[in-house]
Amino acid sequence: MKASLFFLTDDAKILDLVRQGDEEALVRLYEVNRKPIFNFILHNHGTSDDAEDLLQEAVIILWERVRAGRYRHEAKLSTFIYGTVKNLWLRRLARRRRETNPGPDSENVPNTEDSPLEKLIERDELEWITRGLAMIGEQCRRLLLLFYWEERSMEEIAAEMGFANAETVKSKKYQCKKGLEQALQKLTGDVRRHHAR
Amino acid sequence: MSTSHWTTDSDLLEHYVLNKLEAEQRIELESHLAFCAECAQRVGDEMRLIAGIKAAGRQALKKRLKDRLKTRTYRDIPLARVAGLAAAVVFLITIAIYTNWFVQEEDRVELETTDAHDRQTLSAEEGVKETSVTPGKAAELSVSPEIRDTRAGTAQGIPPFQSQGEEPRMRLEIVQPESKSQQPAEMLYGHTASPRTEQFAASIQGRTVWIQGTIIPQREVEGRDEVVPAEVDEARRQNALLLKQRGIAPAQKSVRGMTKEESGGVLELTQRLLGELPPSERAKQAEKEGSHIPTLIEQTDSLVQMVLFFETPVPEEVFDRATLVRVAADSILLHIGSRMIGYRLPAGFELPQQLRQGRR
Repeated sequence: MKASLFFLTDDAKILDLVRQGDEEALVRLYEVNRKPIFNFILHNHGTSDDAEDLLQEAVIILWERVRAGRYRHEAKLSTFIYGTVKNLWLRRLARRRRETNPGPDSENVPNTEDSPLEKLIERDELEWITRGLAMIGEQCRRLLLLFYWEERSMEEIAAEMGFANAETVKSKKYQCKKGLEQALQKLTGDVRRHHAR
Repeated sequence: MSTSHWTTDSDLLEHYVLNKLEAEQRIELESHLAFCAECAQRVGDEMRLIAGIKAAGRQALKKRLKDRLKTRTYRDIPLARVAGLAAAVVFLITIAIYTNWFVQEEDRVELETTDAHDRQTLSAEEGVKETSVTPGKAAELSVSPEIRDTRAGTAQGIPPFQSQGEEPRMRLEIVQPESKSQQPAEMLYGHTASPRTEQFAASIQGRTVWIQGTIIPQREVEGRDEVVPAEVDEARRQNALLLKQRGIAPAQKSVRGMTKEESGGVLELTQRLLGELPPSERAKQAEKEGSHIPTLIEQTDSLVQMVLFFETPVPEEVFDRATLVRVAADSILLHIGSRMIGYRLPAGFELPQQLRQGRR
């Protein structure tokens, strides 16, 4: 049974919810940190859209770290969120500055950011993979996300998805990955054929 | 360990991409990639695939988070502004409460005040030989502020009207002038429903209200040495004419009593004894003079029901012949035998359309 979020007051309870995979914890994290983050972004040349987007990013980064067991609870969650938003915002500001106001030596300075073409390719790849994941079935999609995105161990996946053991998961994961590769080949083949016409 | 085309080993490839290898082994594998373009391509494909899966997972989660946040509304209003708004709301509520109290108080005062206008004599020429309103009395009708819903059985000691089937009861006709120009009684009484009254009408519907009927002493009009104002005299004349036109009014009564069969079925009367009054009303009654008839009145969509509380029961044959006259938009007269009882209807108490128009 899910715990009532209404009474959540401290970080430990939120972290427990994240570990349980309760996505309402994300909303709670968003709401708790909304005011300071919006104040920070709005007072630093940002818009409320920037603030909303970055706060969501930071909340999801925290989620990923906790779920992958890579989060060390040494400071308050709000400190982590604030620090993450600050880093993301500074990076985004630097990129905008380069885009809108390229310096005299900008041609000689290697741009570490992705080029528009690379971004386009990345976006296309993300779209293909999203479509490919949708083609391989819910069980495979979930398994691959648990393993690669949430970095869960085979044992954990076996327990969560009801597989007999880690070996079964490993075997199933192999099949699912192959299925995804085939789906992507089919998708890219369709696109190539479409462009060839 | 051989490093020749090690990327064909899917486990090794995955461990390399997921950074799960020891540093030494990693360096060894990377040295091979510098000379093997095919292997480098495979590593690149694997990296993009895994990065894509991660990005897809993150994107899906972000979309779900956005969906969840869509159902919530956030307002970025500074605290000072919120405090200011709160203060304004409190101020407005205070004003509203005060105004409401003041208006109600004003209504009560209006009902209880006997102004000069209300003091005019009400009569109806021949029909009013026995029945006329003494100056100053009609305006003394007062309304109990206590409102109870007897449908829910909450009126203390008083069962709902519908449960009194065994009680003597009759339906009456309201006698009213046909046109506005022929409304002597209303003109005499000089009260019309105010917009505020009309607004309140809806809220009072379906509830019961205690009102006080005032027993109006009767006097002989004929032969009295009375100075009657011209407009009152004209009103009496017109009223008499109206009653005549409607075939009402033999010598003994101002208006014709109706049998149950004849009635329009829009008003029902019931009589009870004073001893049956609920305690709260009994206490109020004790404070009043004996000339008041406590009455419970209920208005529904199509019906007005009244329960009159008498000290001694009125004989059934007399009660059955009771007659009702509407003398103003908010005032009625009830003739029961030789008694005439005046009522001022509470503010907002609208008579049903049939009663207002009368029955032909």
